[in-house]
Amino acid sequence: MPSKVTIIDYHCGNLKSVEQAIAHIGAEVEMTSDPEVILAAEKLILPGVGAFPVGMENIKSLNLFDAIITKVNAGTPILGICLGMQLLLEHSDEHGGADGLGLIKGQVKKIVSTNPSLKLPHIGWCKLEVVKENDALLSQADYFYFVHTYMALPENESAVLAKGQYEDVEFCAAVSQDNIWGMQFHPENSADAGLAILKAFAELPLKS
Amino acid sequence: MRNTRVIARLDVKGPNLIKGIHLEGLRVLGDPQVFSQDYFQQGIDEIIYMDAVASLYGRNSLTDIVEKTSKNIFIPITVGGGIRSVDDAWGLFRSGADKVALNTAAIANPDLITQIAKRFGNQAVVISIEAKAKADGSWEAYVDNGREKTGVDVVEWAKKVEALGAGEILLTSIDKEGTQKGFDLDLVRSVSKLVSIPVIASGGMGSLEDFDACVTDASADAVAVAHMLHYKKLSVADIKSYAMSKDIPVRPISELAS
Repeated sequence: MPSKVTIIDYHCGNLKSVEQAIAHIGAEVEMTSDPEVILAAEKLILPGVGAFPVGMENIKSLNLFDAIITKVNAGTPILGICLGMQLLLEHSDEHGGADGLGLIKGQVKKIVSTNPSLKLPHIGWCKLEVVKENDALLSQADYFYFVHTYMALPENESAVLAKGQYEDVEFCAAVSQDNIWGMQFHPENSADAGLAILKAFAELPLKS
Repeated sequence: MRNTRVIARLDVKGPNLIKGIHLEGLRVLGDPQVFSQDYFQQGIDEIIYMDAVASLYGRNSLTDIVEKTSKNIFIPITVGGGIRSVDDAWGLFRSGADKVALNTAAIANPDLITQIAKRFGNQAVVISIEAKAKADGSWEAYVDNGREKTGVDVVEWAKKVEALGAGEILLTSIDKEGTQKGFDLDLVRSVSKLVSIPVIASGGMGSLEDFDACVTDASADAVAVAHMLHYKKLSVADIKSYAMSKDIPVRPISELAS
């Protein structure tokens, strides 16, 4: 039985796509900008596209920062998507730099290539190399849809769940640590492979 | 390595999928959702919806279509036509669009590119450029679905939109569009080599060899296909298995996945 999934609406991006994908896999879904609703949530999704500093500013001005940290520390599963994954880390260089949620140790930096004509953002489908075994959400080395200019650099290699390759650049495509997951790609835009991840997340057992 | 995207482009007028030649002489083909659902099942990488008459009437009528489409289709959806403000873009994102494509309003007010990019991120802004070749070998940008000239040079405009914060360029050759005579390779190459954001080539695909030339020779990052798919002359599997046979990396569709 899938549990209820709460999408954190911090006014960044394509929330509707995420909401419709969750509804499609048969889970109950709600969107909220209310810290009280977040504190009562069973599972959290931190979606998002856009710029890191704007995202963090919105999370703070909507008073969501403490609620998210409290819930995650209490063991509530959280899935960060794209910018939402990057926000899990400690700091990003994007647009002058800003501190993130700090739930996963590490930095977010711009993709750098030895090829000066590398196109950015990296937009398109990329096959993952899953580096952790027996992960509850991501087990298959499938193709997923990416749109990003920055990449996460977790401090601990143990937080890296999957890697991707764009031309000569190897990047961290997914992170996991205890009850925290982050996907640099968009599961909601990655056809069946992406829906399978959202389904697995919705079906994670609840902490009793 | 990078995977070349194969994108289905659906031009829409009112409730109907349409197809023209040189963006004109529009013919009704049917319900756009039936077509997009079919392409999704076949393994297309993205969908582009363009409201063909929106900028004439100053509004985009795709909201309903986008909302219904995004309920059943879980790949990126780009929506263009008649977007004049940040609020117009927001309305489409709220309906389930992942990116918006701007042309007419961006030429009139380039600052709109930056405004939408700041609010929703660069990746959410696709600039649609409708290009027509000039006698001197350059290209001029047109607006209102290929109807109005602007005097703006395509190559300079492409450079400018990148600087203003566009995440991608959808480059349509008006001369080739709907003709099945192949892409304007010089146009695609000139723009793709110049900018460091991805370029989607659109207009003119009539054979699998055209696809190869557009990617291998003209360096397109993605290819938009309309006529060949809508008239069922090629399937998504035809295009992807051909690409793989030519060592052009693509996301394989499930039947082709190893």
